[in-house]
This record gives sequence, structure tokens and C-alpha cells, in this order.
Amino acid sequence: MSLDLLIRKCKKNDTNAQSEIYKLFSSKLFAVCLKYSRNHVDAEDNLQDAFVTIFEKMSQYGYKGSFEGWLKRIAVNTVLQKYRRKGVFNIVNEDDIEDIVVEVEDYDIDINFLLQSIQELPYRYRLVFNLYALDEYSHKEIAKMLDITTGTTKSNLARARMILKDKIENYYAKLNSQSL
Amino acid sequence: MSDKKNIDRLFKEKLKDFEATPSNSVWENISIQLQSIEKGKKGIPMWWLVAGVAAALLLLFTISQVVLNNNTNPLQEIIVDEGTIKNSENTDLQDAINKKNTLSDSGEKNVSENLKSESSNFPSISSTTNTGSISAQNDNLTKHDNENRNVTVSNNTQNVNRNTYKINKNELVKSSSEKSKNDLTDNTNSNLYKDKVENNNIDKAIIDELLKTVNNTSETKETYKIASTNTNVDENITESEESNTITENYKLSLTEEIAANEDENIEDIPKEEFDLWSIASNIGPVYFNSFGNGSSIHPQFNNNSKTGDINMSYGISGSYAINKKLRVRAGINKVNLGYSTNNVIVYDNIGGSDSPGLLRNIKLNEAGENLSFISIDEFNFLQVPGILNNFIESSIDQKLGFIEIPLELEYRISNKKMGISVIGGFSALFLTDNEIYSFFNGVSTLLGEATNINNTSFSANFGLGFDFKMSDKFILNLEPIFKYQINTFNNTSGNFNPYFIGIYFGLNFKF
Repeated sequence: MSLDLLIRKCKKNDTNAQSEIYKLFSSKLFAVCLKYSRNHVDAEDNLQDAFVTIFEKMSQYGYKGSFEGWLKRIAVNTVLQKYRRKGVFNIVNEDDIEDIVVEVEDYDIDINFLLQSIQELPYRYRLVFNLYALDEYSHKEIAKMLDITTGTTKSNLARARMILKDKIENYYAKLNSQSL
Repeated sequence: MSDKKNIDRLFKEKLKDFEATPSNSVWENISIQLQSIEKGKKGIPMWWLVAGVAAALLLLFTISQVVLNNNTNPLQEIIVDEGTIKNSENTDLQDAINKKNTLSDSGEKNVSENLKSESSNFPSISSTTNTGSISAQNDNLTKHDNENRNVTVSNNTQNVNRNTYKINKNELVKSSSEKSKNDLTDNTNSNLYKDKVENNNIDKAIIDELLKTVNNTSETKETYKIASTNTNVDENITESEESNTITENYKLSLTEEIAANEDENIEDIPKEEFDLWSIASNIGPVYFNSFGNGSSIHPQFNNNSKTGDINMSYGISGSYAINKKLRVRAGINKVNLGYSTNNVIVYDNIGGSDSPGLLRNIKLNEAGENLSFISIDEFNFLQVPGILNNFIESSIDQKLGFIEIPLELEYRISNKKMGISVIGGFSALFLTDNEIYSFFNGVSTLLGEATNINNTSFSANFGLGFDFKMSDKFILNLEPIFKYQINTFNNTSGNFNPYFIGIYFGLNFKF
């Protein structure tokens, strides 16, 4: 069954089509949720909410742009919505830091470790890093989405990078000590 | 071996094709949630109806318990009273009779004793009266004459008499204490009378005999009459007057009740008289929409299609019967209304400049303050600022909640087992909820509230009521009612005339 047909059926609330769509995209969207959430449980919650919204609003999908992109946007927004609902908590030391470039060595690094590192970031750092580094939103867009200034997003991004760099370096150090 | 890499790139590349399988419970939860949403869209969820009816039944059961409990006690008292009243009435009458009967024979005394004891020792009485009747006196004769007339009435209507006795019993149970007192006296009268009738049936034989003797000895009778003492005559007169009034009263009530019997609607008569009050709980779906093209939000949406929401309304009401046909009722309901303005483009107005899509009648909250809204019809003609990659065709959903106080008249046009009424009146609506939602960036978001809704508004109501009698006390009803809203919105554009239609399902308890 073609994707277009599935979408059309979904718009008519066809349960089988919904199940098919879920099977097709759940693992990709779950990856998005895992990156944006702080742990596995939260990620599953967010995935669930995202899919409910997707099926509820399926009729509004206007075939503009890729369907997968639309789905991912809803998943991201589901997480952001929760962030907004929780309110904006200022993280200490919000001084503007220049947009720094952080470089790390690239061994054969475990993907689960990378994911865990992101999840362990403070809430807003995680969102900013995800939006900017992984999903290529601009600082302006991120500032708008999170209701903060671009200065803050830049600073958050820089701090997120630093934290991640430390984690990776520690990871390598541990790896080396184990192999020795 | 190792090369330095931008940390962003490292993460991006590594996680680019990352996928993970969620646990099965996620889909299960999603499908459960979707099902409940579907049900919610299609109509009232089943549990709502069940819970509503259950709550209504519980409420009415409690009320009926209270009311019936209150009723049983007075009823018992009344029964006790009945006896005492009867006894006292009996003794009162008895006294009079006894007084008068100082000169009368033993037979008469026996009759009065019979009245007092209400025993039915007819054979013995008749034997004693027979012996007494031989020595019957003048006053006794007149009395018998009097009663003889009564006998004719009562003989003709003895069957009716029994029926009415039953009715009186019913009335006793239902009526207020005052009323029941009256009924009691009636009842006592009828009982007395009945006894009299029974006695008089016996007496009839005596009277016939007496009349014979009187006819035979008419001269003696005449002379005896003249010779009788003044006091005796006076007492005779009062006694006969007394029994006349009793008879007349009774005749009156008889004619009423005979008429009632002719209708063969014995049950209906007390019901109409006594079920003045009723209390009802109701629940039902309400559909909100407006006549004409117009918008409560902004003129640009005048021609957009609007979709009315189906929501719930529930409440309680009480009514009072002005007469058999007309009832006046008032109540209190919670009612939620909502509608969607479709074909709206929502986008992030990042430029922050004055937006052409600013909504005139909406105060946006933080989540919505930078959003712009444009009717899809006007979209082509506008220079939209800011980025548009994120825009989405959406709707603006307005949700309102009111406390409704209806005051209505109910006129019955059919009064069979299935009753039909016409209902008209008005409601006062007090605003409790006022929210504007829109779907933006993938989620339905609370954007703010409307600024043009009056805290107090009104509606003109017109509808039909169908009711089905489950028992004398409980009535099920179904009332489709149309409510035209007045003064709910100000500053609307176009021809925006809101209304709502409710299909109310209720349970009525009459008392």
C-alpha cells in the first residue's frame, strides 16, 4: 500500500492504516523522542502523545513537504510543548558565551553512550543542542520556540557542547584505562 | 587512527540513522487513546450517559426516600387520628342521639350502640330492634322517616359509596394533613353513613312495619304527636336537621365522586390534584452554531466555514403545576459550547511587526502572542511577514462554558401515558469558561481568551417535551430545545447569530 493511500485512509480514521503508519515510522520517531527526552520512559510518553496528535491532526496534513518531516516536527513540538508547560527555568550563569567550536576525537564511539550523554544534559541544553546541532534550526528559530533570546540559545549551545566534550573525553579515558 | 571532529558533526553523523523500537505498550496506549477520542467526537461517550442516568437515579432515589419517609410517619398518625376522630365523631353524634333518645326505645339505643362499636351484629340488632319497634314512639318515627329518605339515596349509591371510600383512602395517603383532615371528616361521615345505611337497611323492615301500624292507628299517632313534649319535638328537629346536613354534605360529595366514577379515571383525579411539584435531573448533548455568515472573532473570518461542536449540558430543575396543563419551571444547568472557524492559516510571526492577521476580539496568551492568523481566502492578497515554512492550515476553536438558569413554561398538549408538551421561556447565561485554541506546530494550543463575551447573557428557549410515565411518581422525558442566544457576544462582525440546540434526557420525580 502506498504511503499516500495510507495517509488518505488515516485521514478517515482507518485504524488499520493508523497501525501501518505507526509501524512505518515509530522507530524513527522514537529515536527523535529519545534524543529530546531525558530518559527512555519519558521518550515513550512523548512518542505516545506525538502519535495521538499525529492521528488527530492527520486531516490537516496538506502534502506540503515530506510526510516524515511533518511527523518529526510534531514529535519535536510535543516535547517542546511539555517544556513550555513546565515553564522556563533559568539555568545558572546565563552569561553570553561566544559560539565556540568544540572538537573531539572520533573513535568507534558507542551510539548508546552518545544518546545517554544528550539525555543527561540539563533540559534546555538538551533541547537547544538537539534543535541546533541535530535538526539544523537557526538560533533565531530556537529562541522563538523556547521563548528565550538568541543570546541564551547560543550560550546554552556552547555549554551543552562543553558538557558533551567532557563526557566524551571521560569516556575515552575510561576506555583507555580498561584496555591498559 | 583518530581525527578531531566537530562535536556537532560527530553527534549528527552517528545519530543520523539511529532508530529504536519502542515497547509494544506504546501502540496499545495510542490505540486506546484514539478510540476514546473517536467516541468523544462521535457523540456522548457511553460512560457519560450511564453515569448521568445512574447519578440521576441515585439523586431521585435519595429524594424519594426522604419524601416517602416523611410521608409514612404522618400517614401513621393519620391512621391513628382516623380512629380517634371517628370515635370522637361517633361519640359526639352518639351523645346527641343518646340525648334525644332518652325517650326512645331500646331498639334505637341498640342502633346507636352499633354505630359506636362499628360491629356488625345485624341479626341480634334486628331482633332487638324488632322487639323495640313494637313500642316505637313518635320521635322515633320522624327520625326513621328522615332516615328512610337517606336510605333511598344510599341504597341507590351504595356501590359508588364503596368506591369513593377507596378513593378517600388514597387521598388520605397523598394529601397534606389539612386536606386529609377534611377528607377524614368526609370519610367518617361516609363511614357513619355507611353504618347508618346498613342499620337502616335493617330499620327499613322495621319502618315498614311501623308505618303499617302508624297507618292503622293514624289517629293515635296524631294525638301522640300533639301530646309529645316540646323538648322532644325540639330535639327531634335538631337531630333531623343534623342528619339532613350530613346527608346533604354527603350527597354533594357523592355527586362529585359519581362524576369521577363516570370518567373511570379514578387514579388520575388525585394525581392531577396533588402532584403539584416535581424535581428533575437532566443531561444531554448540545450543539452550538450560528445563523448567517459572520464571526465572533474577526471580520476576515466572516465567510469561513464554521463547525459547531457537540458538547454536554447537565443540571437539575424543579417545576410547579399552575394547573393541569401548565407548569412553570426553573433550574440550573452547566452547559459547554464550542465552535471552530475553519480554513485559517496560522503562522509564527517572527518579524514581530504589526500583523494583518491580528485577532480583534482575542487576548492572546504567551503561547499565542506571536502567532498570526489569516483566513485562507485572504491569503493570496497579503504580504506575509516572517518565515512561512512552518505555517499550517488550521482552525480557531472557541470553547465557552456557562452556568444556565432557565425559566420556562411547559404546556401539556397530550396527557396520555406518553405526554407531549410545548416548552417556552428564557435562560440567563453566566460565563464560566472562555478559551481559544488553535492547532499550531503539531499540537492544539491554548492561545488565549475572547474579549467580546459578556459575563451575563440570555437565550430565548423553545422546544418540545415528550414524557413517558414509568410510575405515578417517576417520569422519563426527552426534550429537544432550541435556544437562541441574545447578547452573548458584542462586537461581532457580519451576521453572527449564535444558538444552541440541546436534546435533554431527564428523569422527573413528582410529589
